Amino acid sequence: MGRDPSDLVLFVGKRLLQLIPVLFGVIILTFVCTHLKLVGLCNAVYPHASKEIIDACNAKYGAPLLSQFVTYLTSLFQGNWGTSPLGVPVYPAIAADLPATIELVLAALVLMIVIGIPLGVVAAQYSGRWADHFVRIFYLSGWATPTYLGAVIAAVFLGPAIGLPSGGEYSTPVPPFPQYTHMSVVDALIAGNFPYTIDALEHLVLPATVLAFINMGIATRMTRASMLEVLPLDYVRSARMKGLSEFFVMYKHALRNALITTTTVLGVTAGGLLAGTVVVEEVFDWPGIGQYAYDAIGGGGSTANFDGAIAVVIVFAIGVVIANLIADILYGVLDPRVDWR
Amino acid sequence: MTDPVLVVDGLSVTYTVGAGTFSAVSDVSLEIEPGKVVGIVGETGCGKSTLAQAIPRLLPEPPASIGSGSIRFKGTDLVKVGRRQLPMVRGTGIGMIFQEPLNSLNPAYRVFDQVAESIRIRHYREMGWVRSFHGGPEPFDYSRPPNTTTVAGSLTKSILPSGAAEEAVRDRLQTRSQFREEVLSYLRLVRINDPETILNLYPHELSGGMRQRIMIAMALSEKPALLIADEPTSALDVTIQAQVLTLMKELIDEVHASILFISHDLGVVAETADEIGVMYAGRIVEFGPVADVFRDPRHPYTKALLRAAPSQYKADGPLSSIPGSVPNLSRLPRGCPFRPRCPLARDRCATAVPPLAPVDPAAPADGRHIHRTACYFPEEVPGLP
Amino acid sequence: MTEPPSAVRRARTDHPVAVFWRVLRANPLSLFGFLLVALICGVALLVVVAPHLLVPYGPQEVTGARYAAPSWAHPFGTDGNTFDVYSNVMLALPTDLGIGVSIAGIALVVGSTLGLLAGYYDTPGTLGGYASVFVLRLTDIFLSFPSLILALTITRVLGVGVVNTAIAITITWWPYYVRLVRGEVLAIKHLPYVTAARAAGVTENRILLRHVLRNVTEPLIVYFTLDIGTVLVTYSTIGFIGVASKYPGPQPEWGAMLAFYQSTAPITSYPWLVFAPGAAIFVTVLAFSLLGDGLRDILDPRTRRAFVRGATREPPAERPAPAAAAEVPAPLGAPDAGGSG
Repeated sequence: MGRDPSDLVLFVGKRLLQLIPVLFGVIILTFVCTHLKLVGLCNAVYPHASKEIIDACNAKYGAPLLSQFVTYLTSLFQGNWGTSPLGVPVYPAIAADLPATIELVLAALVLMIVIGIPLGVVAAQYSGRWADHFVRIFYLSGWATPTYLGAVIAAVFLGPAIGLPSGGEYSTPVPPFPQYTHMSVVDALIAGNFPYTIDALEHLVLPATVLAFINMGIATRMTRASMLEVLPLDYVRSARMKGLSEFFVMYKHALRNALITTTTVLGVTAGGLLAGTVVVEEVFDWPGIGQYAYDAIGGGGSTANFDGAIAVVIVFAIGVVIANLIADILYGVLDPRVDWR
Repeated sequence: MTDPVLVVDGLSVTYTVGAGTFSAVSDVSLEIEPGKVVGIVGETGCGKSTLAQAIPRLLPEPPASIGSGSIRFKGTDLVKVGRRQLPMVRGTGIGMIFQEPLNSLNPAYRVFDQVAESIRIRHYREMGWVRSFHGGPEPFDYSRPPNTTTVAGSLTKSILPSGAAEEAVRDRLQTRSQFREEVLSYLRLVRINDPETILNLYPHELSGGMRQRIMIAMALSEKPALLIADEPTSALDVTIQAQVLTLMKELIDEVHASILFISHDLGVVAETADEIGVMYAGRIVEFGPVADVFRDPRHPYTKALLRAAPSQYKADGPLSSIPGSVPNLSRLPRGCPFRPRCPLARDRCATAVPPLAPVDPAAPADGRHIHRTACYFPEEVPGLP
Repeated sequence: MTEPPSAVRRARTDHPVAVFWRVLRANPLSLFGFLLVALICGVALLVVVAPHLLVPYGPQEVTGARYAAPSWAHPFGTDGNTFDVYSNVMLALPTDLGIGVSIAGIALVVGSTLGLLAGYYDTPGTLGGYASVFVLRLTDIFLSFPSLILALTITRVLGVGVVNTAIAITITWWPYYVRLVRGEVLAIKHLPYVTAARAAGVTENRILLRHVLRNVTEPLIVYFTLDIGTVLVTYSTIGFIGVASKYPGPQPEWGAMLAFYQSTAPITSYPWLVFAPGAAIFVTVLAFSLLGDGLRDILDPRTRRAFVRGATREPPAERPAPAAAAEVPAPLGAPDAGGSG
């Protein structure tokens, strides 16, 4: 009877093992989707490139698919993720850009949780009344706002209006301290540079808010739905009858159970958050892999960087898989009825 | 004479569903004296549970709303208490045991956390850490002798500097192990054999009977002034029912609490209650001391119920059933609600709802604890064979 | 007292149109969404059939006024090329709407067919069992990608253009429907009434079509309605990044419009250049979201109960019924159910 904390290791380990085939599938699928049509298309793809680049491209994508795949897979695991048309290696660039994106996405996630979940609780608590309608309009507005629209409005109009910066990580291009983690706020904190920490936070607020606002709908919606499911249940009534205030009834008893379902969709929002970074980072000039992806895909008419784009797709997919893994583990931890063995 | 713990006076509860409304409880009045057990019986759908949940204002409003009447709990009218102050009434003031133990415990927390939460609520209130309900003078603390402690407490507070008062409060804060012991003591109180193990389990790992015992422990651990037991056994297996009932009966003797006991089982009420009210279609149709009502029912519905009950309270012979069925509360007949099923019905019964009046014409008309019936022809109700 | 018994009335109003109307009436926001969707579709149709009624200028027609402010002649002003912004926004409506509906539609057909088969014929060891395992694994892998990123990359590989973008989105879109439909089928197929139908000699295919498909329809409609908006947002984001279609061009698209003005025009001085296409896509997506969200609230068993409380006339003593029409299967004795096989 009961759950043994030592079984949690087993539980997590099992989930990690299940990850391997999915990750392998992700790599195969990316390869298939991106290489099928590439054969012989180098001219069309790199219209302005030099003869050498097109030759190199033809040599690379002209081989039989299977041998291409083997080459691709081996180089992938060797950390050789190809180069951009200008000869810049992909792997170091992505590795350097990843922390900034992680910082942005985590900040957005925190905002989603801190704002989106209580909004869902309030909507459920006052279901059918004006507060519910207001919350619904709020999250549907986020849902209906394309990321680029929200980002442009926030960066061009909102930011200047409320005095928040809307470009880059710091007010100076290079901060006067070493960047160990490449996460702007964390680095400033490590350096103990308080003004720069504030500066970094100010730069983080707008892009993170845009990302959070646009992706909040799922969390709010799910919280509201599962709260509505939980609220009529007997144990909420017992909690009320104990003499607990409505706040504790809602947040300690009802939400604790509603969160079990909400965590599962928080994993799903990771996809939206990551995809959103492509536009948000470009508009806010945030030096993460979103911006890298924008350039690699050829956004704004720049030359496409195929190796880079494919690498980004895989990195993002791994991000989603990991987010789902975390959500899955959280689900197992939050719901005592899940058996860890 | 001591003041009653609870006085319900002319209480009506209406439900608004879509465009229609109907009364689930109509004009119910009852009184519970300290230490007394009042039983309410009736068929499913007669408004018993609505009444039980209306008293601590637990009904979702809307769709439910209290149309009229008052619920005076220790001198405070709960109908007029604001939504934000209601939690202060519940738990330590009015405790409740529910019908469905299967879902009444929060699946996300261990038994210990849930019982401990109840005890903590009581501790905080006893220590005055949380704002207490300012409806009346100390309305819920039945365990404390009146006046003396309050005087002593205010003396302590005026003499000692505030730091020392806090120190005194902290003395009452038990250490972890003492607290655990207190939780255990309530589990032992409800006859749980292996409380140490049970404490660490989640509700889904417990049987229905065990869960109901824990619900009872939780309710009692707050030492409520009034305990409402809303069919605490009807959702359990028959064998478990018997065990939990025995437990309830023993506890009623032990804790000397004022109890409102709701049941559809006449036998249970007969064994536990001091007074009994019979409900039909949202009204109390007969009320009185248990012995009077059971020996000499004066309402045809009570009569029919007793006849239909397979217990020692009726003579041998074939079980009878009440003809007809419980009426739809939104389409009640005019006059006496029992009229369509009543063997004694006649024209007068269709004129108006008969009032709850004393059986003995000589008794005072407003007597609360005497045998009363809501029938125009109580003398015609045939005696039990 | 004069009302007929509610059960009779309910049985009569189970016609899909009646259900639909009841759903809309119960929620003013979704009614508003429905009216808005109807209006948008009407306008789009008009733009296609009789463009001269609504579109005063051609997409690249020189009007002579450069950066003109909004006026009666130019409701959304003009841009740096003196093109009328309003005309371009209107001309983009059928394109964007058509893309949203058709991509979501293809994904719906492909995904739900696969989901239906994978959910229903999944006996291990049979051909169907293996096929369904394959489909599910493929779905899992597809769902690991943020669809925007994968679609962007595929578009880039296929080559810039409206059709290629549509193909790319469709490739990444169907798996959502597989998961949705399969989940519903699994929930339904072991219900007693399906077993009973089988015991009564109804053939498997007929059970699948008559009982299972019928119960899958409502969640599918809800999801599809919401999905049109999501596809639209995704498509216009690809347009914004500049991979879907070129603007200015013969076939304007909102995302591309916004990107063009954001990068070339002084939009702080001429904000309508951004707000016009932005508002167009926002309103369109919001309309579908309001409608779909409202529909889901009533059709989804999760949140249905809360609404039933407000929308019914039945006293709570009876089981909550009206919206439960979705849940309650056709009675076995119905003449068309038991007849075959």
